[in-house]
Amino acid sequence: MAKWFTTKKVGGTLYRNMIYWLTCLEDDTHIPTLTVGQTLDFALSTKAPGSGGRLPGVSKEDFSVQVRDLLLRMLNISHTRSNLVGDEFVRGVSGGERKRVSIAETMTTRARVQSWDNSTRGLDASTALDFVEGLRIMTDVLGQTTFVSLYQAGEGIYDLFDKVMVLDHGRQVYFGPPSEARAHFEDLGFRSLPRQSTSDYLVGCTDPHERQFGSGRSSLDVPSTPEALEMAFRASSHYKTLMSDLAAYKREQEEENKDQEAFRAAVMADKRKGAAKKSPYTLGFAGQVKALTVRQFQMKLQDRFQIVSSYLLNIWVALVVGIVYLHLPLTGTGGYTRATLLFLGPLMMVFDSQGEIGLMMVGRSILNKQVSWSTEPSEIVTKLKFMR
Amino acid sequence: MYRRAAYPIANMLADIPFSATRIFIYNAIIYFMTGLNWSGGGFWTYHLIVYLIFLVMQAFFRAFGLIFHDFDTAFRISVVFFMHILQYAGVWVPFAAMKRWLFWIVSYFIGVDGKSHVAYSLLPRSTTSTLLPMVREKMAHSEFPSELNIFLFRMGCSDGQ
Repeated sequence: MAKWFTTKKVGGTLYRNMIYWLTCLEDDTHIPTLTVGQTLDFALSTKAPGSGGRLPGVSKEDFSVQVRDLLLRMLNISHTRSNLVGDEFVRGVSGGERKRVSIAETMTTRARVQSWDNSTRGLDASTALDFVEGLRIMTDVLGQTTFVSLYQAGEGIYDLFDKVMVLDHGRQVYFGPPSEARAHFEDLGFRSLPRQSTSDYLVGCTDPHERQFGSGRSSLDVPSTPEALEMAFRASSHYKTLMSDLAAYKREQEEENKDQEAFRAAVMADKRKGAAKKSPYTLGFAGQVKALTVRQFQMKLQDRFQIVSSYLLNIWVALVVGIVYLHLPLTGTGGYTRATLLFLGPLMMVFDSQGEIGLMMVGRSILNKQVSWSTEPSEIVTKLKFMR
Repeated sequence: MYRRAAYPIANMLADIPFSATRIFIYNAIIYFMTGLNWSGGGFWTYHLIVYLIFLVMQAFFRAFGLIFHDFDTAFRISVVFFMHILQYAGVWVPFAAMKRWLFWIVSYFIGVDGKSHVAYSLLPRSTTSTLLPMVREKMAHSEFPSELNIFLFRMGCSDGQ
């Protein structure tokens, strides 16, 4: 039973062709052996605007450094800039800081619509609040729309949102201001328990085992099936307000398309050399390869264990082979042995390179995440259709 | 943020500084410990060919890592192909004994003309100056002398007899 929160600015469909959509799943997928600064530098190098999108006199590097420092300050993680991001095995920044790195990375993409799926999993209460505050800052500063699903949202987190959606078996049983959600369900006849947070109360109302009816009420006169709850919501004043807001917004967008034009122009101005006009990428293919090469090199250079172990292993294998075939005789008796050695030398290296299969799997989730962040708009539309 | 195709290319480029030094150390130890032909030309030819084989096979395994979703499948399928390559690399199965209808395996390893097999390509420079008299003698009594002899002739290591 997920609760969905959203901001007021729902402007997706009209900008369909220009929108960047991204979804963040529960886990933070970062390269553990990169520092926080390097992680953001890479993201910025693929997304930093071209000369048309920057102020005159500001170079690409200056722009990236400024934006990176701004993001780090805004999310209060400036002190972690040169620390490794880390994961279960590599010692790095704390879980809460890692979440904020995820937010910062997302912010560099300047996606207008973002969805976060249970991203506070495994965080303590205060860090979870920090995280959602970070999302709030991002939403306000960049003027975007953020969908968040959370389990166990505390009161502090709950109050940060503009709208709350309560779903019951796929039916929308409430969508409106968070401050009025409790009153809506109390009016329907559900009893709120003392010291129960609003989000727990709202989730409880949709759960037959958890909900309690008000004094003198029972399931006979309180809407208690998903269908009945939906009907009750549709009959309420919240639904009327919602529909009139929606109609007003649509009318406004039809009459006033200045915003859309400005948005299109801004996206075009951001394009760097080599990026096609219709492509969703800010950077051309050669630029992408360059940015990725720098990142992969940093990543490999900082993975000291991998470097030391691979060099030692190679020297060890070479010594073993060398000792086995030490000083081959120069006569015909060494002929076949030489041929074997010439085959064995490359063969050992080929066995070593077999480990590449595993390494390709390790980076897969990060690759998928970052590639999906520039999904073609048409794909998004298809996905949305399937989700319905 | 980027196209999927950019990743393997960048990964390969970024790996070259590390693998080049690693393979160089490896080759130098083996080459000079075992007493292959003590000359600069011999060593650098050996190093170049071994490094190229390494790069090709690295890309080969990476391709399996990228194509398949899970490690188990990728590893098993890659081993099937790898065993074919190994058998037809020109050492375990002699060149002339290879079945003609399996010859396509050779083509995905090095080249269609088959003359550039691993062992053959390594033979001339690093060993021939010491081995040639022996090889030539063997060739004379061998049932498949022509292939290697012609190849050595082309490389300027043999007088074609």
